[in-house]
This record gives sequence, structure tokens and C-alpha cells, in this order.
Amino acid sequence: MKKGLLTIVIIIGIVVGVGIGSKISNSAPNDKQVLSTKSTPTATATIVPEMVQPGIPQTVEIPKLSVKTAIESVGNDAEGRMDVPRERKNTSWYNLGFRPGENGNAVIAGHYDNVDSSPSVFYDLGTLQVGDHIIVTDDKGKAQTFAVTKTTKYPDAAFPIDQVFGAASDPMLNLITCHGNWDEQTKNYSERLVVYSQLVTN
Amino acid sequence: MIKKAVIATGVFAVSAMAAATMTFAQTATPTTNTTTTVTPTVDAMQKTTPVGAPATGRAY
Repeated sequence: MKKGLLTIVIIIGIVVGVGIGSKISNSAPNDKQVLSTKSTPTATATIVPEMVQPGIPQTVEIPKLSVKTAIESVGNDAEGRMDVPRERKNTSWYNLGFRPGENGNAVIAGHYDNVDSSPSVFYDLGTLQVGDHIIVTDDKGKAQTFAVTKTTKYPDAAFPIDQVFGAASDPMLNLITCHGNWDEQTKNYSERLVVYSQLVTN
Repeated sequence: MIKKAVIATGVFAVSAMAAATMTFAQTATPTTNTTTTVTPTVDAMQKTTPVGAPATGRAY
């Protein structure tokens, strides 16, 4: 009798134990769901792309014209115009505006001729055509290639300042030199030639 | 009699613990995404324009 009772107790123990264990296992997915739901982050990850400012331009190369010159960093002259390079063999970059490679119109200027009327660094600038390359290397050693998009001449008295020097949604580089007729009295040419270009490789 | 009752209780306990352990092992540790913010390094220097085109005529 006692032996039978003991057997029943053992069986009940096993059945109840397995039953409870099974119930815990079955309830696991719900527990997991609850845990996952509570652990889901409510804040959306925000990644702001890093913007690195281009370096200071050091040299400009125009393969088609066999031109490679140093770039002087300049601001305005005494009359408020963009300054020109001190060395006739150099070009000048307008350091109060945009750097080549950043969104906006960066400007590099070079002389058309020399005092003895011999050709200077940008004498043949007007021969550039759409698609020709201009390579600017900065003080970090990074070379950026721009492709010519158009070439335009303007009267000096009606030069479109904002269009050439102003803001833009893309990295632009505009090269300027003199053009037209030389006025001995004012020591100035009547026109300016602007070669517009846009960054193609960075 | 007592010894067998203890064995029965042990079987019950082991069964329940095994089931609970399995549930714990199947539950993945939740991961939390962190917010990544990189501060732009472009300075906010005000750009200016000149009043006229450069005098790129004859270089002296």
C-alpha cells in the first residue's frame, strides 16, 4: 500500500515538474517579445557626414597649355579689387572667397602678358575648351581636377562679381586674366576673360 | 519512503530548472543603437567678394 502510494507521488512529481517546465518554455517567446519591445531604442540614429575643408591651394596645372605655376594667396588691392600675383610667373588665389574644392566659386587669376608685351602665365587661357582639365594641388598634397564648362569675356566695367566670386551649390573654379585692348593711360585692359570650371575628381 | 520522496522532489526541481535555463539561453541580449554625431570641421568664415576684377594685365 505504502509502496503504491510512493509510486503515485513520484509519478505526480515528474508530471508536475515537466508540466511547469514546459509552461515556462512555452511562455518564453512572449517574454522575449516583451523584452525586445522594451529594449527597442526610441531614438533614431543621426549620422552627420563629416565635412573636411579643402586645403590652401599651392599650385595650378593646365596640361593643355603646358602651364604649371605656384599660387599666391591674395585678398584685395588698395582699390578693393582682387589682388594680382607679385611674381609674374605665378597666379593668385582670392583668399577672402572660397577654396578650390568647397561649394562655391573659387577664383584664381594670372597675368595675360608682361611689361615688355611678352606672354605671361595665362596668355593662352582663351584657347581652353569645354572639358579641358585644370588641376589644383593644396598644401595637404591633395590634387583636385576641374573640367572647363565655359569661357566668357566681360567688359572690365561690367564684370559680374557675384557670378564669378559668389556662392554656388557645387565646387567651382574660375580662372581670370585680362583681354581686349590695352589702355596706356589707365594701365588696364578693356576686358576680362573668365574660364569657368567644375570639380570632376576629388 | 522519505528517501524516495526526496528523489521525486529533486526530479521536479531539475525539470523546472532545465526548462527555465533553456528559456534564458534562447533570449537574445538586446542591443541599443547609439547616436553618432560628427561635428563639421568647415569653419563658418564669412566669404566676401571684391569690388572689381583683378588687374591681370601687364605684369611688372
